[in-house]
Amino acid sequence: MSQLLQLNNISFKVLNFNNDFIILRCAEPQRLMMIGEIILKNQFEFIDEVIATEFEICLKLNVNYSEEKLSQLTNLSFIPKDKRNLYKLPIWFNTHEDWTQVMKHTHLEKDAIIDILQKGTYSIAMLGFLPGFIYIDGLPSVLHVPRKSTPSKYIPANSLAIGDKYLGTYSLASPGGWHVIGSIACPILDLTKLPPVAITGMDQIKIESITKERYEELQSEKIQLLEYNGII
Amino acid sequence: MGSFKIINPGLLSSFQDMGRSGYAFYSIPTSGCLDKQSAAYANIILKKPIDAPVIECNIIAPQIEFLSTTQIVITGADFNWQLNGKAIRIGELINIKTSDILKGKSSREGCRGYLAVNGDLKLDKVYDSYSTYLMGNFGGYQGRQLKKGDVVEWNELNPIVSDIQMDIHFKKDNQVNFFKGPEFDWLSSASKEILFSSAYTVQADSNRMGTRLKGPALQLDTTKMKGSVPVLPGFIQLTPDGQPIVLLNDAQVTGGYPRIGYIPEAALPAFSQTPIGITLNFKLW
Repeated sequence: MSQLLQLNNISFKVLNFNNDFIILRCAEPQRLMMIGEIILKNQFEFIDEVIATEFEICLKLNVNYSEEKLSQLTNLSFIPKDKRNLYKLPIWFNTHEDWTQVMKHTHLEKDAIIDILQKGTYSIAMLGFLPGFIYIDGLPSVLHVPRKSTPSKYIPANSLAIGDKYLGTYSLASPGGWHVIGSIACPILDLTKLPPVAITGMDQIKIESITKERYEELQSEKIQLLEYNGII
Repeated sequence: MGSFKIINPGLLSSFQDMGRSGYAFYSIPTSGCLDKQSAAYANIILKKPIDAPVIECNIIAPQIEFLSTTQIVITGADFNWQLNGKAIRIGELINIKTSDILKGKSSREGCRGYLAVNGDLKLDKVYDSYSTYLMGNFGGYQGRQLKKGDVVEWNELNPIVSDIQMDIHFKKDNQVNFFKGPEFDWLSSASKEILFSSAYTVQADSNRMGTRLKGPALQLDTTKMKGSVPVLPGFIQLTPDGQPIVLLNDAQVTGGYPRIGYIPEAALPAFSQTPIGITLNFKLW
């Protein structure tokens, strides 16, 4: 009963749940954000929501859906139109208590960890969890730290954290199970804009270590991430 | 201009409308009234657009002092509402005078109540909706639940005449009809038996993000979730301790727990009226 759909040379299994929603699932982890974004931007009248993760794209359907309409997706061009940006993410590597566990698990000193973090070029695995939370891919395996078995009740807004193989950005204060290693000086989330997160699935990220003084300066000047990176 | 003042906010009172649509891609949940049907009735009786914002109250009613004349409609669960100490009916137009005090008690039958006011409420509209998203601190009244002393203002609309009366009774049915979710078949056959033959009780730590249930723990034959996957309101997730959570309107858009089932959108208003402590039985649709 399950059919297949080819989008951007990725083969998806189509799982239709009573015309309430469809899950498109691929076998290997892919950056499905870009595909999801292009589906979303085409505003198909039969789709209410698009959610993209690493293995799945979920399409919430409405009454306008009928089976033959799904093939409209295959007509989309998945060649990205927008320029690919490289974002520098300015981080003050603060003295958060989670550093203890991160150093213990990696057997590395804080300075060495910051060095490794700055060397990498990272990509976007997916958005999810809460507004402004980015799952950032490309963390070297020496820095993989399993999530906490009991999540912390409070993680401050604009925290950078490690969870398994990802770096993650807590843009809103929330509970969370990842290990906080730094404070992001320029907020990723801007609720006055659409999209609220400017970083797209095609962009890349570099981590930039900044001093506490520089962090406070950027904070007081309320510099946005786009402005910091000279992207208009 | 009209206004009222919150004397006591009740347990959790916030402004909600029909919610946001199309923003889940950016991890912004739909929010909005949990019992959209009752909220829509309030607006219909008041001859306002269905998606006009209303106060949603939970379990314990707020106490409100009106600082001007207006008209209101209350729908949803029965909170034993009183105006100046006198019992009032829900589901019909009520004329309000300056200094009137509206209050209620704990909810009976259901747990969400809706209060619509005949005015254009001065609230924050964020991403096409007045709904308060509590976790994100945006929308509605300053992005938060109502507090003692809050004054809510509105631009007055012409008084209306409405003879619509709605006698709304919640279906007193403890059966939850659901569809199989993507990971339904991960449940062991013994656990499927247990799910269909056992009672699950609504827990006190439920909130607008989800209704937590407790009953006999369910087990999966496989537990290999490949990372986080998309979720929608109505999805039934199984937590590591084998208990189901039904996601509601403020839920995250992705999650790492198996999605054993889902309650379709049309059945969610009635489901979200289920009070804490009520025992439910699951049945496949």
